[in-house]
Amino acid sequence: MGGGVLLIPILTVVLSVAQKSAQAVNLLAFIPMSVLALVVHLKNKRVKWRSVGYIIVPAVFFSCGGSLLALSVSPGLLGTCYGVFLSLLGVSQAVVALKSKE
Amino acid sequence: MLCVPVLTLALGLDTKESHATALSVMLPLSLVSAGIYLASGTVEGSILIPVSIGFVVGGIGGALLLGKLKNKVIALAFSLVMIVAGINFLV
Repeated sequence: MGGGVLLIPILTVVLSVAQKSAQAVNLLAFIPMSVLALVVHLKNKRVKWRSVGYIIVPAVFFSCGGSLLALSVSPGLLGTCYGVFLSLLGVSQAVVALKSKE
Repeated sequence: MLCVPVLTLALGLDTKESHATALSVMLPLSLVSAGIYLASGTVEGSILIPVSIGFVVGGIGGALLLGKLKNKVIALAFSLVMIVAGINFLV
């Protein structure tokens, strides 16, 4: 998950926590954090609820499908594909951001 | 990681709205995943509590900061996180 970019390597490499425990902690700690951050965003009226509906339904389907697919693919290949995809997405987003005026 | 670009590109939200809205999408999905994790194994409470405190402080700080930063800065910072995360998976 995106939020685990720093946390998971710190837990697994620096603190020698098992990978699965690190993932579980990352996921669980995200919940109180997102509830409170969301309170701030709701107060500032930044959440667009209609968009939530458009995203969440396909997200559930793709998550289930993705999880099933992930079970049948080797973890190494999965990690590599995801790494390449994420790096390319990051670069394209950086280019868009640099070109934008605001 | 995908939710924010989809919201900005496909649904036309601005950067700040995308990040805020993305959280609303991720929270219920995370609750479901967390439920599965809790049902299938134990979680080390000794790590969970300090990490949760850190996450909450950072999360609230980030949410407050979102309003004060320019969209360009937010978008660049997020793309940097994506690139670091991507490289992390490759090494």
